Amino acid sequence: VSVAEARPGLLVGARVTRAEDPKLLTGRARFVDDIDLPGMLHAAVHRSPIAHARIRSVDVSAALGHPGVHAVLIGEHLAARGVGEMAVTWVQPGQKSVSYPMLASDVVRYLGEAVAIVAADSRYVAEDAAELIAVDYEPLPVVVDAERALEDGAPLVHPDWGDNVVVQVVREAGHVDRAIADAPVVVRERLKVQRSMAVPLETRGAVASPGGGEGELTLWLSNQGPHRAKTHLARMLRLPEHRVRVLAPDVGGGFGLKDHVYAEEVLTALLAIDTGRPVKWIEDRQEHFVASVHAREQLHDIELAADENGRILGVRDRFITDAGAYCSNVGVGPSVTTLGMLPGPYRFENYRSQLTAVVTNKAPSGAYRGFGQTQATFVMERMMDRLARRLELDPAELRLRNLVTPEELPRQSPAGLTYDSGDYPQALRDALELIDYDGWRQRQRKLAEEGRRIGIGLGGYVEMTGMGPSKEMALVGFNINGYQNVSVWMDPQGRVTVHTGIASSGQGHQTTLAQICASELGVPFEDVAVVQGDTATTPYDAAGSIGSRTAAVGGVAVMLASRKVASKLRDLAAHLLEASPDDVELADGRLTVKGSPSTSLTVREVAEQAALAHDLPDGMAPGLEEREVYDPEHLTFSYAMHAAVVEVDAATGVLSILKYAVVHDCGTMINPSVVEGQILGGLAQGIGGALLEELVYDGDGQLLTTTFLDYLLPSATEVPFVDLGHLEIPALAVPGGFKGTGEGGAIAPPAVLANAVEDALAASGAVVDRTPLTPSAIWHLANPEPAP
Amino acid sequence: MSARSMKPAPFTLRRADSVDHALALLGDHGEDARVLAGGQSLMPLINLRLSQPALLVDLNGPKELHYVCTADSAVRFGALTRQRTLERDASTAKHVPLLAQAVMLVGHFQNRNRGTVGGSLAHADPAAELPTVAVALDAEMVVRGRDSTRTVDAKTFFQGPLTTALEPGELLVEARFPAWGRASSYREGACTILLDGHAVRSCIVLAAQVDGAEVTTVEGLSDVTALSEIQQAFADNHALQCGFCTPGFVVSLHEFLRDCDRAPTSHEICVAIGSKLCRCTGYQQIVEAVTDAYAAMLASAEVRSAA
Repeated sequence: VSVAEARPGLLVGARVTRAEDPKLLTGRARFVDDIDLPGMLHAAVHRSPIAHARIRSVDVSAALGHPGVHAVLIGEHLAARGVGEMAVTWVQPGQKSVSYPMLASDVVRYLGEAVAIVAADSRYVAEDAAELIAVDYEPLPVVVDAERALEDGAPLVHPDWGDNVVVQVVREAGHVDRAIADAPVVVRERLKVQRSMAVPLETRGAVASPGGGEGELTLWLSNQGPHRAKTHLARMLRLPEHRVRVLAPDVGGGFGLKDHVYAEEVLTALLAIDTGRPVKWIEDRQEHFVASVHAREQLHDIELAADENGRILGVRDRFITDAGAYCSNVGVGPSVTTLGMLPGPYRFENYRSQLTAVVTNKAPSGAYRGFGQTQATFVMERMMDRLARRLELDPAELRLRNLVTPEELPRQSPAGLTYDSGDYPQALRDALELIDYDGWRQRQRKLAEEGRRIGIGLGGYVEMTGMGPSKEMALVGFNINGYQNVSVWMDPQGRVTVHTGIASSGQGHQTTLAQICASELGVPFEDVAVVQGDTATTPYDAAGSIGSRTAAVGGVAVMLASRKVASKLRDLAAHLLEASPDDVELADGRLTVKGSPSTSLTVREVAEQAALAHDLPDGMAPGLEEREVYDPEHLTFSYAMHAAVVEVDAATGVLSILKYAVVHDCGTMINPSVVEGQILGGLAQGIGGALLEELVYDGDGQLLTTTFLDYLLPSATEVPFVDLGHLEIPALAVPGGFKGTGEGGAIAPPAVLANAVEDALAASGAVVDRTPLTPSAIWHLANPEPAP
Repeated sequence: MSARSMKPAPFTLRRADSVDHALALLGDHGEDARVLAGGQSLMPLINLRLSQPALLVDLNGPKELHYVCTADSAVRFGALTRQRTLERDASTAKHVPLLAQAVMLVGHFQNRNRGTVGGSLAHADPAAELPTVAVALDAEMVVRGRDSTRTVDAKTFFQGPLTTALEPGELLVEARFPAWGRASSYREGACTILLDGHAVRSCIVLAAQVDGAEVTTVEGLSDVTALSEIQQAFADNHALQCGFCTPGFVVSLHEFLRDCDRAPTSHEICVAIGSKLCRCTGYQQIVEAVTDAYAAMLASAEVRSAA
């Protein structure tokens, strides 16, 4: 394990206990649903009970007449005010779906689509009234399956398009057709990744409060990016942005799902404006399943070409993604990311992947931890195992032959992204050692003689983090900034407040950002506070906490702003001590003249003088507040190798994970415990996606999985204890060397466990071509029907 | 509790004084009435408005259906026997071991503190443990109407998903499992509180049902300045991230650790928190925190020492 050399201070890299924990542990946190305002009304949504229908009429008279009801909104009302559409932020050239209605007015296109919203004295009354809204639906033909949606004669979700294709996007390098035609070995598979979703334990929620002045509005939102929400809200409601304030209080998990701004949140604001009273809307779990963004559904037809030694010659892939009835806020961004990250850590030149995004009568698809990279890794790593089996090569050996080496970095991948730094082969070797790969290969053979089916699965990925240079956001069509904007202010007591536009949804930013700041300023960790989640008090940054960017972009901004404060401290201390600034050292809360330990001032003494401004050097502005707007030069790429040993019970289909190891590298670690928490938490979600979680629609577009009885999340009895190894090779172009680590854990498990299951069932010739690997799915793989 | 989890349609709650009283209420209201036993299945349906009964007959008052006894080569469970009682009952473990094992898979122990044997059987969820075991072991159901009592074998009793042979006005009063003789349900459990010292999920207990009971929330487990051993161990082990599920874990572990008479193994901790959902941490740090918390509690003599 190498350690970053340029570590700025002791606090960076320390396992500091989190600053945010005491309030969370003692019930004193404040989530959106804890916000209770005088005179507050409660909203409930009337949702379509069918997947596709023309709305003949909507009768709200009974609801409006119900005692305790204050307002009812339907699509017609919004259209009359010109506010009914939600914009898509990530738009590809030629993309047909660039906005979606807040409330369906002519046609409902998926089960659970909002048709009306009610504000009433209580949630009970609001629900009663929502049930009294009479909608006359004329059912239309339903298309649920994305492949079927491409067939001639399929029902059209948006008839004016003429087909169900949202957009096609191609990523290409080299000469893949020739490479495949000439290759000695080509493996081909059809691989499916199921529809699943993030499912944070806190559902979405909003509290809107109208202000006293014209256009004033305050909105508390369970959201990952309050500034972006504010920009959107102001635009959707045609409000002056400077009168709008958005707060993200404590947020109970986001995982991408709360990256989005949703129609219900804007509608809650509209109800507050209309009634002149605060309005609260809290999503219930059933609404969450039908109306928060789904994710990940893709169907790949992929070919991988290699020579006899297993050297990859090219990858040709076509895939369909099911966007749902409309593009969500992030459009087809996750699948565009799949195109970018499919080559993974492997060395090859010839590549083409073609995405066809399709609409169906299902809920819109959007962001979920991994953002297309889970699917990319599932597909690429499945193909690596298929190739190993074809060539009768050890899958670890095959990977080692193809992994990009440290000497080859930085290197542009065939998808056009420049991987910056790392040691992929070392990560794999470490992971193999952690699971005792050679030992298990021997035990696997021995136990097979007893009829026991042991499988070993490997899988690695490179992960795009630190999003990103703003100009690169433009290149991929993502209408969002890539910089981070922070201010660092030292008060007259010498304590420090960091103001940042990002917003934590559990990752521990109050801790990690404070560690960076305290390291730079030589003050105790406890002397740094981090203010976030409020657009009125923090600098503008519309990207928010998404795409594993907080450490790699926000952390750098905090570091650089803190350095400016430190520099000013030294300048002022030099003035007060009558020394040269170059001779003043800042450490352990003191500013000391080099070689003269007795000539010193405390940070607090200097901070007091800075605030008083009675005796400043010529030209120095009063106070100690510095701003940094950091826009990275490049993306930075984390990576990891996962390895698992499983046992499959062929009689029951039950899978037991015997060993699971992760070796990862996110550059310089700010707080290893926080990093490990991100990896292990992501891993649990990845295991859920590999083994349990699936959003299942029937042929009529009814969602069958709308409670935790049907949509199974992994619990402590399913998630294994993990052996974790760290590499720590700094990011190449990021001051501080930080890379992102928020998503990585969730990326590899479906690939790794699919590879392990196929390995365990190799004797029966099973091919794992989809997830989730439920006991039923594994049983069918282990007990194939005899050929007729 | 918040609007997030409880927003049922209007209903009338009647607390039965006795089984006869309950039968009279059921007889008077027919199909409009539902029996409220532990509420672990019915209350979520009511909260989600998937079930909208006009009348709820609360059976939790009378004690006459709380019993486990052995007679005529069968272990007999009064319908209101809590699953937690069954789980800890020596005669069940000895004479109906499959049932004793299966009940451990019912939700988490907060569910079992409140959930009843009869409630689970009468709800007839095909994914639930007790109906499956009842069919497998040829159990018998004792069913009372206002004027009659009949015994129905399990295969006849269960007619389909959520459907039983119970007629309107009838009540399941006892289940008989012959002596000697997996599926799971997950709910998040973030709303867990202590009701008279036992962990229950507050979002599916009616306020009227806790009249006179002692309710402890996470705020009551420590003061602001000093964390409890469990809370401190969570912080030390990074066993929380967003913190939304954390109070539920802390409260239920308070009961779990209080009742431990030796250091729990990792497996026992996993089972204790199994089907309690955390979406951030991946559980490993929570298990480590529980191990640490036990040691700390032992050290401060808050746990019964093995010595």
